[in-house]
Amino acid sequence: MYNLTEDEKDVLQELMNIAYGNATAVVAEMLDAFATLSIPNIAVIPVNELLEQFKHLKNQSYFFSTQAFSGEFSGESAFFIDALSAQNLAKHLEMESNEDLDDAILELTNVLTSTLTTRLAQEMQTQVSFSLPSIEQVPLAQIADVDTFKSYTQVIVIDTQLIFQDQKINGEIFILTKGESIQWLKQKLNQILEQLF
Amino acid sequence: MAQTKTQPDSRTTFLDSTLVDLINNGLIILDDTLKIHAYNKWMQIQTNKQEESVLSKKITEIFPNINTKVLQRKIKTTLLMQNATYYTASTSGYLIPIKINQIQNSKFEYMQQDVSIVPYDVENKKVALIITDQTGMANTNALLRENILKVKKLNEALIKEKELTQKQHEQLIVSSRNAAMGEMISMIAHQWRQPLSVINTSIASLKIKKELGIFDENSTDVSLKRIEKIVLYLSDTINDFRDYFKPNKNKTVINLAEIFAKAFDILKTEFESENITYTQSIDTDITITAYKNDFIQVILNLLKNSLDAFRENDATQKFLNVSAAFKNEKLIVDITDNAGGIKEAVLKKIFEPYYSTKSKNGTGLGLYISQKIIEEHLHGTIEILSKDNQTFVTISLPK
Repeated sequence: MYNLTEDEKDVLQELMNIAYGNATAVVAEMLDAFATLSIPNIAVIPVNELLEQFKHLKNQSYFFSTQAFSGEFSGESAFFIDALSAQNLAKHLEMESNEDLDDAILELTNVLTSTLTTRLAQEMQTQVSFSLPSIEQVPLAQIADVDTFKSYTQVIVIDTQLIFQDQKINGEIFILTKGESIQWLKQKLNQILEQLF
Repeated sequence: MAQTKTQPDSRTTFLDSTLVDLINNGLIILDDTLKIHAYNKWMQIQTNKQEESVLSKKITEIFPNINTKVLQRKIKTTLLMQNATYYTASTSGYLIPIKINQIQNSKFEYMQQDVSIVPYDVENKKVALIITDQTGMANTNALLRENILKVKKLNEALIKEKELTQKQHEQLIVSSRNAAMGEMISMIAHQWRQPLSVINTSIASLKIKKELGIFDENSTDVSLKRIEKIVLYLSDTINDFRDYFKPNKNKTVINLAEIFAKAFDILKTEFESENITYTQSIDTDITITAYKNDFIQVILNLLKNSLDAFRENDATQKFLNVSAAFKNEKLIVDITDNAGGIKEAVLKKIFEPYYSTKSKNGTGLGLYISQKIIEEHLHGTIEILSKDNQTFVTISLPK
């Protein structure tokens, strides 16, 4: 198990805050609206703990989109948005069909995850390459069956809330990684820590 | 990959045109006003349009059905993020309408495409659209989805069928038991005839003695005790009968010797009238856990079949032997008679529902239900063999 120390978590939170600033600007531009992203709350937990947390969710249906990234730091970023928030997003973008809605969610996923991950990678002096994102609508009861969750051990959970004018769009971003990448991440975070002190 | 800020002056300077024309992907360079700046060989062949005819035109002039709003948004986002945005075949189908006439990918009229929009020349607001043909994959996915749907439907039908079969099976057990009830009522009537006649005679005798004035207390007591004993016997018979038709809700521990004796008691008169010798060698400490009345139904059915066979095939020294013993972690119950045996052709069908060889009153359900009870309720097996005018029934039950 590769747990992060408090210091490592602090550094990661700082890096995320920087990356998040970028993501907020891009999302606002993309959606052509005044948008704010709440300051992310970051936790690094084992995947099965995350699945436990899902049990407390009340909505029955979620859109779940994922995008794999590779490089020294590799894994999969995922965006989790409930059906109501997705409808709000569709309304905001004046979407007409379900395909358009899926495409918009994918785009939002791509913007959020690739901006975040790219910026995070930049801060850690590495580069990442992205695969095409994919989307599925998952009933809550089947969330543990999502293959993504079966493949990874640790997850960086970034809780966020997108706020557009008076419409609320809640989403959660996860960065799922495996042992080697977490070890690499720890090393990088420690290097940054050493530079700081 | 995070893009470096390369800023080419023109296509000829920066793109190796040979390489670009060799790749098995479509490549279009667009600016944020949707004007086309490059159109590679693959695109020219697939869309049957020469590069000269599309350059400097807006992509929407060439393909009027493209969703301008979405494309412009994606280009804007790409340039802003300096990172790729995408159209995926699984979500959007296609961006550039390219008709396909393939038999192998017949699910789609237009080529299904993954499109990556990557920043090409950020300063001049140009992006590259890299188009990958995903029709084969999309076709396979569509076939897979269709098949999953088919399997789902078949599965639902199977579940319904199973429920129906289960219901029919339950109805069969009920009707088989009703048929058995009818037979047993006639047997009880037969059994009662003799004791009722004894009661009748005793009462008549008491009446005569009273009329003749030879009524004495001693003989009256004897007669009344006899009547009382017979009434008790009749009452027991009716209790057994009632117990047998009471539905069982729970499995209970049953003493095997006792249950065979009880079942035989119901048929005892019939066996005696046919001169059949019944022998039972079962240790009194052997028990099984089962739905009691279901198990009695099986025993009664087997004993009754034997009785019916004796009625149709005369034999000397008629016998029916029942024995039970543990063998290889299993309880083996053997029931053997010499009522003429069973023909090979009949043996093959003997457990089929509605199959009967009886000349009258055969429902054809007895052995079918018996097998179901043994297999489904008791997790055992039942086997019937025949040799030398004898029939061998073997029930094997888990210990």
